[in-house]
Amino acid sequence: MSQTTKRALAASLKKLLLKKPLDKITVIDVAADCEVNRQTFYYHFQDIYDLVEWIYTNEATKALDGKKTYDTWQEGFLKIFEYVLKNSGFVRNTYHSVSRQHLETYLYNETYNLLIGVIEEKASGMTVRDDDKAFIAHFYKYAFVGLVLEWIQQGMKEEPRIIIDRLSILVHGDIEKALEKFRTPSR
Amino acid sequence: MYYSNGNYEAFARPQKPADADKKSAYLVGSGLASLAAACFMVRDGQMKGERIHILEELSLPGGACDGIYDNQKGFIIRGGREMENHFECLWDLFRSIPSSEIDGASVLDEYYWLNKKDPNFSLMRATVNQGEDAHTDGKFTLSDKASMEIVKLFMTRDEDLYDRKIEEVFTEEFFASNFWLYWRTMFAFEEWHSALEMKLYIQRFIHHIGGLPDFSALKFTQYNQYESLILPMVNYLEGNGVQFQYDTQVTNILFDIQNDKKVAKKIICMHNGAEESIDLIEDDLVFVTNGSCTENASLGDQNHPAGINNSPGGCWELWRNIASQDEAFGHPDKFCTNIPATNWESATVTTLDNRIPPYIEKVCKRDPFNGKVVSGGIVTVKDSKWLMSYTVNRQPHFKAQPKDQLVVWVYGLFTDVPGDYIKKPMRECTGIEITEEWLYHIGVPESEIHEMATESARCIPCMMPYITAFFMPRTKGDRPKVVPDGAVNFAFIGQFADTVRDTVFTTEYSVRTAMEAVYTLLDVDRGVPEVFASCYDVRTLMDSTSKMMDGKKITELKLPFIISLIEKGSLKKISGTVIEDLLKEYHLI
Repeated sequence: MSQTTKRALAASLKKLLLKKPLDKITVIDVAADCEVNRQTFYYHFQDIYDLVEWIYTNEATKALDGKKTYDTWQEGFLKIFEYVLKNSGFVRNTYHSVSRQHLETYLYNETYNLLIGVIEEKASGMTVRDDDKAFIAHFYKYAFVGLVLEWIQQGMKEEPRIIIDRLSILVHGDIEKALEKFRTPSR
Repeated sequence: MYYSNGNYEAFARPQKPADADKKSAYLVGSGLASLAAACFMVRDGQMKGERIHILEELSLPGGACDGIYDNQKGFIIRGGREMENHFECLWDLFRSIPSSEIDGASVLDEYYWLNKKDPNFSLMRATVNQGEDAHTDGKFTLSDKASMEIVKLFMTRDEDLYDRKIEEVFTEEFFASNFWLYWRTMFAFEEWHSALEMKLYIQRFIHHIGGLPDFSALKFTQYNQYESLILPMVNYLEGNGVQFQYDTQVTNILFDIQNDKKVAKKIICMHNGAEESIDLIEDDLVFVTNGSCTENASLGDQNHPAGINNSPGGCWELWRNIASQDEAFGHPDKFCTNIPATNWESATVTTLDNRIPPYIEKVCKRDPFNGKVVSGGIVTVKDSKWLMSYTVNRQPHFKAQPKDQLVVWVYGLFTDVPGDYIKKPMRECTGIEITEEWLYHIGVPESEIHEMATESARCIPCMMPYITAFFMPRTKGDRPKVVPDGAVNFAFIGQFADTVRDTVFTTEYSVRTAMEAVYTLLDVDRGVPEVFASCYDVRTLMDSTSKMMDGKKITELKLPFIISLIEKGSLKKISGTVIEDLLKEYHLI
């Protein structure tokens, strides 16, 4: 066991999910793969679903890696796809389990962080209320995440770059336009 | 973490801390401090209960906050908690813990209503000559010199009291006063204990000086504190998914210590006879209760003395193992290496028939079976060589107690000297012998003492080698700070962690250190209530001064500085001002 137990357990679960569905994996399986006893698992997590939630919560904001500016948002969004591909067994399994909500929360939070970064950048020098900015970010968040979820459901086959290029053409200039509409007239 | 006071902060609820969902917590020990920390993490940190793990060496929670029925021995209370209205952190917590007694009420509501309906006060503070009133009569009997010594201590800076003993700051006249009799028996201070802690107590409870002689300053729970405080917290925590793991003794915590950063990396523990370890990341928070006043407490029974358990106490060993890793983690040996200076013995006497209760009623001047306050705090046997005190709380003191029995708590401050009726040191006495000594002092005729102690009562002695360990003289750094400088994911809580102005040997201290620890490590954005600031309130100071002088006017004192004030005409200068009004209101002129 070369890393701390929490991370080792997370790695073991991800590894096992490449072979078996989530609801077939027991605490004993994860502990055995990780070469710790069951009690050690319970020192850290209540059950497998608790571990799933921990993984999503703790991996949040790691994927984006700062790519949340107007010039790099496509890169940022691509990172989210890449995270999903890299963890495809884990993500596919949680998508088809009672833990799906944790996956969705993770995707929504990541995408929101990405979008609000871009919006704040574009809004600099403009007077736009914070709740209006948040509204814009939430609106696009659902569209973005919807594409990702659809893509996961269809087996992650389509090339993410193609989706992102198309999206890029579609929303080009939209954020500025939206901000312009919400701009508070200066007095 | 910051301190605050007033309703604005008291009634506010903090927002969920940003990283709350990433955190797990490990609490070493399940005493009041740990349980309180877990409650604050659930309520204010809004952490998931399932991520909070309480590791307890024994098979039940509560630490020193006890009250237990043992099938073989019967009812046992090692001690009892005296509480007050300005336990700011404690009441901040218990307003949110549901009462086990009253549907829809909090523990605070239950306690508040109880103490409104049945306020505590004593009708017999001390006795002499086998149960006669010692006529302390609410007087402090402080000489001018003794009063000045108190004032001087009150004004002394903490750093000037490091490693100093009470006997170094007071002289004979003070030790002869009723003030010292009240003080040492209700708080268990001895001459060789810390002068600093004594000062902190005087400042902390200055608003209660008037209520010290008859205990009208004190409030008590309905039952023993295990049933009235601990169980409601455990229910609250279990209801929120908090994980309790018993029979798990933490033996060490390993830290990674860099220049300005200290990280707890691993917990080592014994569980089911095997060594286990828990790896920690920086999002794993560890709360260590370092030290315990009930460590190595041992029980006797009717026919056996409790005896002193000298073996190395697990909690001290843990603290030593931690302390050896960094200077900031304190000096446990300052507190736990002088059992003669830190022990005393208590005993739980359960009366079994109707022979003893009339003697109790005679001393306490209340029917002990009336369900209300009985002794109203301790009764001290002023002429007892053991310096024995005893208390009869509201009965029943246990929910499971039979209606016709009384549970009485007895303690002796001096366990190494022969008694007055039983010519043996308390620590060598069986339950029967301790009951005999007590019966003698409440006025039972000698001819009936032995039979009554044997047939009409059951007594469980309890020797506590470290019960006043936290009162040992100390200096800066002997106790680790609640959150040491540079600590990222751990804190020290309980009676041996260091925070400012508050006083050890109180339930409040456990809850305060827990609240400060959680608010710091989780970055909860709400004020921790400061220690009640009565020592900075000029009205309280005047009022307590008048009461400490048993109502004398300052102009009657023969103290050099007062005389010079009068001679210089200072009293004339304040004539017609607010100062004169205040001095009159508090009976000082």
